Amino acid sequence: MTNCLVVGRPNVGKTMFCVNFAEFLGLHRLEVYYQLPDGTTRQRKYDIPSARHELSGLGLHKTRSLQSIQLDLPGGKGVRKFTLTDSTGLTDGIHPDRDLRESMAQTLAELQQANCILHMVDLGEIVKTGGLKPLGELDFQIAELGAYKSGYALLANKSDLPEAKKGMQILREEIGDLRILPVSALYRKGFREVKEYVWRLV
Amino acid sequence: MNKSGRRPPVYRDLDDILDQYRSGEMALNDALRRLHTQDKPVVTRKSGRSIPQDETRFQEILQELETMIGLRQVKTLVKEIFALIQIQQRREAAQLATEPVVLHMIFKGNPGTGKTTVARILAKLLKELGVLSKGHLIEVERADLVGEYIGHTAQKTREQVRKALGGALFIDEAYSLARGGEKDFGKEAIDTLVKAMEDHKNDFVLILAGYGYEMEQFLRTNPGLPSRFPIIVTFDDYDETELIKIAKQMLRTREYRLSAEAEQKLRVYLRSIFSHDRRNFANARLVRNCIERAIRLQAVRLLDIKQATRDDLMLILPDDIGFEEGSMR
Repeated sequence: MTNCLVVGRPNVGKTMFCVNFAEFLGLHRLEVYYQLPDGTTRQRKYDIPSARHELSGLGLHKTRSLQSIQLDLPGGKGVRKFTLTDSTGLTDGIHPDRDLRESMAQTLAELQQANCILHMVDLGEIVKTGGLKPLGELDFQIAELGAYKSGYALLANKSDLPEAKKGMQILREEIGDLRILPVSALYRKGFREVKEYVWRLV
Repeated sequence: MNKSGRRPPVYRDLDDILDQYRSGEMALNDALRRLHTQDKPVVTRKSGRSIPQDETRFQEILQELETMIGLRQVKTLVKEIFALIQIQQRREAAQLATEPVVLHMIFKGNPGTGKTTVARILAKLLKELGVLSKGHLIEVERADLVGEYIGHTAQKTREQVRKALGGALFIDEAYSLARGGEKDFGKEAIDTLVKAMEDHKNDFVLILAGYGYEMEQFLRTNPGLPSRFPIIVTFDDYDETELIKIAKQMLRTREYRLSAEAEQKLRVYLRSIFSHDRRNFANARLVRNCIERAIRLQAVRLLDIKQATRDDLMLILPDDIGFEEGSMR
């Protein structure tokens, strides 16, 4: 089964995207499968509003383990199954917190395993700093890694912000001919394009 | 892992890189770069059979095994494996024919004879020897292998084998797969395992563990089974002296001490168990339970004594050793 991994820096909206995308695909209840850094797994069930409330939040590093959801993609005849995995946000350099490093190492390991990478960046942040480069090397590295995978897409999140257009421009210049899909995880914009893209991969 | 930091970095696998990142020796960017400038991880795993890079680490693990009391048969076995693999590698260097080593094993023994502990150490050891590329141990039981409907079992079992590739798959209480008669899915799991053992002969080591008598029965269920396990290790029951040694070692790591009278009392108790009930005897686990109970009782005894000395806090007296309750078996 195809495993789609959502990666990116902290607070770009990975978890919000996962929850809302699941809802977009018609799920009312989420069965979230946690893979904790200590090697254990557990499963929890949420309905959509409580998932949104509990899983995503404003604090840095809300997600601290791999959280997978099984999803059915309807389209054409029948459905195709795939796994959407939410991950801990990655940061440049050596993170001072030991536990978080564990979680990030998990993300790195998963990065090797996943067949499809949805790489998420924050348009607001890009405009603020003037591009991906000032943020650090990380995003470029993920993009490069994506080239080895069967599927890679750059999701430019927070496209609902007023400065988003400018952000997209900057991103286009920096990244070049990679596939960029503007989305708004919060307002569920651009999900159809993501769905179509993932559908083709699965 | 390498606390000293002296060791020159050897990038054998994903795990090493991640470990370095975890312990804060490498920046995430470097880790990422290393990870994707390497070829696909699958390729690196195949070249895993190499001469052990780190003699000291190997000795450390061997030491860990050596500190375990008793287990003479296991220790000889490990030495045999070690010698065999070393010689195979030297033969390879001399361009002589080498036999791929098949190392599937069966561990038989009564409860508490150290089967699981040894399996864990062995997995690490095989990694250092370069037989296993990753050296991790996947521990499973019946419930992880047997499915709910027809066909599910094979899927689940294959999944576990896939996870164990490059490491060891340890099935505890393996005889339970053969329980439950003709219609039970356990048989399907066994058949899948037999197939996987042949397919991935050199990629993983399968270790089945269980109680002696039940394992004999288990091996009879599939005629091809016994011959597929070249190594069968019997874990003998510990004798009285060994159990006392184990007790002392356990207490030492917990920083307690057994008084001479208490030791005597424990000895007498063990002897009485030996004389009438060997079948359900829990060996080291029994000793551990005994000691944990003694530590609790000692705590109760010391609670009222306000000025207990350092020595008092360490000493276990005969009164602390109690043998009632279910904690014994």
